[in-house]
Amino acid sequence: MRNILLHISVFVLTAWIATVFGGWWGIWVGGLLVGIISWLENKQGILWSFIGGFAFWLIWSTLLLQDGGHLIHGKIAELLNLSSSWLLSAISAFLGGLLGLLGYLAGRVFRL
Amino acid sequence: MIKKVLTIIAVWLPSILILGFLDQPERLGMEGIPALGPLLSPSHGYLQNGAKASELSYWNTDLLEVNSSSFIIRDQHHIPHIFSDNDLDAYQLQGFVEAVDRFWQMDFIARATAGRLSEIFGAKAIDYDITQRKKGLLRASKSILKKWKTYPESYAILQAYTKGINTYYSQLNSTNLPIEYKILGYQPEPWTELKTALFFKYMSDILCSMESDLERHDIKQIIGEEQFAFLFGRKNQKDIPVIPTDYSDSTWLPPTDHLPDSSGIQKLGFARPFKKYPSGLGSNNWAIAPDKSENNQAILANDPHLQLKLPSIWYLIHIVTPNQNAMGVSFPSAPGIILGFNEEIAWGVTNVGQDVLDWHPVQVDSAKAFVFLGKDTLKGTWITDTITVKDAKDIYPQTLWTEHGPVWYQKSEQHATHALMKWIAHEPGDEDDLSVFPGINKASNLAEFNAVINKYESPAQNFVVATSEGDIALKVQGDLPVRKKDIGNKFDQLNGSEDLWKENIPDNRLPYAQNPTQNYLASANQVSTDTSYPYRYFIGDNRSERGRTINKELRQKEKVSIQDMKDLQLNSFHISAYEFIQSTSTFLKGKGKEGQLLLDWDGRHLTESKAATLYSMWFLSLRKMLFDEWNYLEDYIYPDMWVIVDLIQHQREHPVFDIIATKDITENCEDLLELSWKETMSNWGAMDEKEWYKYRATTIPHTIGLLKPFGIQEVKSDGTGKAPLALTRTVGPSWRLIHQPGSDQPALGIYPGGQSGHPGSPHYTDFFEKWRTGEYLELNIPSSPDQVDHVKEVIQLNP
Repeated sequence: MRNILLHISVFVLTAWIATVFGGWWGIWVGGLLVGIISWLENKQGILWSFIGGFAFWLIWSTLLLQDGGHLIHGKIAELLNLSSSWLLSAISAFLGGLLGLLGYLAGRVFRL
Repeated sequence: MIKKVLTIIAVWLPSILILGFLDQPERLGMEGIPALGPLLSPSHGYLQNGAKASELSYWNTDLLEVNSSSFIIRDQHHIPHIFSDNDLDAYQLQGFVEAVDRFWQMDFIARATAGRLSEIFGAKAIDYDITQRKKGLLRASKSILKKWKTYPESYAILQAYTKGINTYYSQLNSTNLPIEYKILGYQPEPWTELKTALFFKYMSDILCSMESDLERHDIKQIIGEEQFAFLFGRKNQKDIPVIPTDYSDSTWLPPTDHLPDSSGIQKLGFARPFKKYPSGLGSNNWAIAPDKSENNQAILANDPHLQLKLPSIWYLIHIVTPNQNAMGVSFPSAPGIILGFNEEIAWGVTNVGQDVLDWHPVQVDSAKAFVFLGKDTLKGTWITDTITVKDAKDIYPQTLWTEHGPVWYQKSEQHATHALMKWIAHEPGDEDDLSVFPGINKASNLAEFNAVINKYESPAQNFVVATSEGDIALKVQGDLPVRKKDIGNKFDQLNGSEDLWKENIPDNRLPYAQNPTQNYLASANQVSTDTSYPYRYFIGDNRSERGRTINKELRQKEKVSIQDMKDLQLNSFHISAYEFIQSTSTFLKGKGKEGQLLLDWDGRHLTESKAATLYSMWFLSLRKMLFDEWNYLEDYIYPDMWVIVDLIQHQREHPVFDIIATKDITENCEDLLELSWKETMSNWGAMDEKEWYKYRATTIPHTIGLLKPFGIQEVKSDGTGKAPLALTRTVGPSWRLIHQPGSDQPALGIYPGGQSGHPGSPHYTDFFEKWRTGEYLELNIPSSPDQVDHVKEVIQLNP
């Protein structure tokens, strides 16, 4: 449990710093670092990096939605031809998870 | 080792490809897909474009450098009230708030006018950009800016305004960019004074390119002089000109010598090289004198009709300095308040139906850049433009320019190949026109107002004003060319450059009326003067219906109230439609319930009216059959509606009723009514939704129509193009104002949109519903910050 918490903390901190100083792809960098460090030496690392990315984007998006983002959220969903704005939230969160996962794999490969 | 390297590549490659696709899909050959990575990421994407992007507190206002104590106060409607002890500070703050709300719109319009859309949209915008460059709007903008720099006081206003905009621009980054930049994948750039000039030329393009000389020429070739004169050349005796002045005794005569040899009239016309703006563009304004006003104070009403888009072209703002306390709508891109009121006056404009664009056939020697205009040889210059194209090489279109304008070329078997375009929009003028609207904002009586508007040049407008002292006045103000007789209303073959216009109607001969005995003045884009006025300036498209209805309503009332003004702005009566039904009443009596529907109809285009739909379908079918001689031409024009009513009432055997395709039959009026009715009924039966608003199908799209969710898809409202409530598929009342200057009652104003240009803001379309249902905002002009009601935000700035 302690390892998982450390894993997530490193992931989130790195992703946050890379986003602020780098760009929107900061979450991939978070995954990359965790992959390199590889606190968890088994395949559950993949799942946690996906979950970490998913949650990171989902929580942040939800906070922004609460803070006056719901109008634009609906319009972007319509622009992307999505049947509901929930789908947009799901896709965005999934994308976050995917980026975290890809970063983890890219970093994990150095541990081979 | 190799296995390790291959493994690394195999694992990294998906990352690189996916990140690349999400960041720049066009580089992977996927055009038209937005960069989903930045767009969907919470850190940089669309969620950063929520409500707070429009809030002043979101931006660092400490960067604004003011020389005096100043306030920006936003009220509940997101209207900024600017208070400053210094005019230039006020204009700087105006620039800043307008940028916060509308920067993308301002930037986009400037680029579109300059012919720079290829930078955003790539190769598909090349044709558009080439046309814009050839039209010469960028070139004209540079000329007018050069002129403005010679008026240091006014130029200082523009510099202050620009500085305010760029204070906003300097804070933009990849996170807080307006959403349109993120979706379309391009970057903003600083605002420049040239962009304000481009905006002025954008309005010139809309408002003074409405002539139909080329179309009239072609139609005349097809139907002959006599027929053309009958259909297009007669005056509607029921028309009521704007200025009720008889000019018969004037000694002003346009030059008539050196008339062109009309026997050599060009047989071949010239196909218009660019699309015209949609019909319906225009406006209403009227002023009521105290003697006719219910509470003995002058009243002003104005509603300009422009293409309805989001963000709206207008922006409500209030500016208070020691020299002014004015409120109304501005054009984000230009300093000052364009239409509105202050403590003493209210003013508005309608467009003059001006013919200020002429086309003339020429011959060209391309190699030597010679242009042969009649007997004269003009030395032209080949100007090469550079158009930057996204993801492609730059292109370099060339245009042959003369001192009189550009030469257009088209490859055609039916038409002439070269035409000289002479357009008032190319002329910078010589007055300090940049000072006009800031000057009007400070005017406190009729004399001051008139002194200021005398500097206004183009596009010519009917300026109406009402004052707290009880004066009303209307002036046709602007540059209107003095042409030789019969020149400039067709594709004219000229003798030489001496036949081109050289000067404008002098200011003291421009039509003007003040405090008339009829106790009101009204303009609705009908001809401004009657036939006694010696100068030709009108486009000939005699849109008299709105003017007739407005005059009729105002004349029949002895006293007029504010409610009457609202009722008139929302009046959906189409006088020519009503007359058309009256003229076909005998025919309709035999046409069952549909015929009865029209016979019972009062001519009003109400939201749910089925009669309005049926009339419109039938009339359009009839008109198409009636003018089959030329309806195959693209962008063709028609005679005024009263001509059609006149034909039905008095000329039922006229040859124009004959359908060309039916060679063995000679149709008359009755035949065409029957045929068009039959065609209409077959379509009518198949229609599920017959309500007028459904058929009219008005929308208010985003400036970029492709961004459909950012527009309004349905406008459920009364109105039609030829009624005072002039609403068509794309054009409508873009602003409404009613005010009694000097009264303690608030002004009434509204426009179909919202103050914020950010689609994620609750103020993006919050005015729309009020506008749709005929309601107005109450607009007060407090003279100090503590008097502003319903305050939402306060920014205080000190030197």
